[in-house]
Amino acid sequence: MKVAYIFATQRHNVSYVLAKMILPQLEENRHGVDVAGMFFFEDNNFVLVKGNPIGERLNKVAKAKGMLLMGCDQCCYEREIADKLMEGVPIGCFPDLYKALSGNMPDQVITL
Amino acid sequence: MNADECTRGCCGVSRRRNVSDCFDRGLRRNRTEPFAIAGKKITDANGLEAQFSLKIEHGLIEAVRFRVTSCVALTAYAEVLAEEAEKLSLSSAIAIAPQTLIDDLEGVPLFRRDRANLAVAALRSAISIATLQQGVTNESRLHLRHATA
Repeated sequence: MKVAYIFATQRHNVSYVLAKMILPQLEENRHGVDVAGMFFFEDNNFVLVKGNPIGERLNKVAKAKGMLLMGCDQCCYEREIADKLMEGVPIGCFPDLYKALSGNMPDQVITL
Repeated sequence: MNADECTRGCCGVSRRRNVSDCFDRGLRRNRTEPFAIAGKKITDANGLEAQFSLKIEHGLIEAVRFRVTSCVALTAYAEVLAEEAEKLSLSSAIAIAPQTLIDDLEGVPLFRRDRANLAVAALRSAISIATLQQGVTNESRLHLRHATA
């Protein structure tokens, strides 16, 4: 099965669910499903900023597995980080996300 | 409060020229009815569209409105362009280059900066049509003057 994650809520999502559950499992090839992509809303986008330790690990996995990482463009512009994201990580809105995933469609979309 | 008033700073907060604020102001301008003098709808290679319309008074651009695809960078660039072009003559406004917008609006990633070209092309189309119409109007006045002489 192939999934896509949408990080829509804040609180403990990136530092805990992503950094301590999903990411280590992906790094150890034991997540159980393929991840087609991850899309980030609101403050979750800070993980995509260049130099963020969780983001850098995530980007390494994403490159190795052909996984899409994308930040919400309005969220990034609002936080003035749109031009500070890691190399190769795009920003976009829903049409961009759908287009980017269209070549690697997930079976399930998990909203966190 | 009308859309024009809403583009000014409010609540003691002055207007900021960043992508997020320009996008907000641009969304409001995007919803206003176009003026009678409208340029062609320009479409770029990504399928994004932009069309500008102008209100001309005494040879100057009194107000600018636009309709653009709801892309953040495009809307923000269009808003900066509209703010820059207002109160300028047609010849001054047509000289505004895409690079000016890119320099004015920091924070847009490189791969989104091509939106500035689309905004400028759409404004220039509106200016061209306004220039033509002005020429016709001036010529009509000339004919009228000859006729009454």
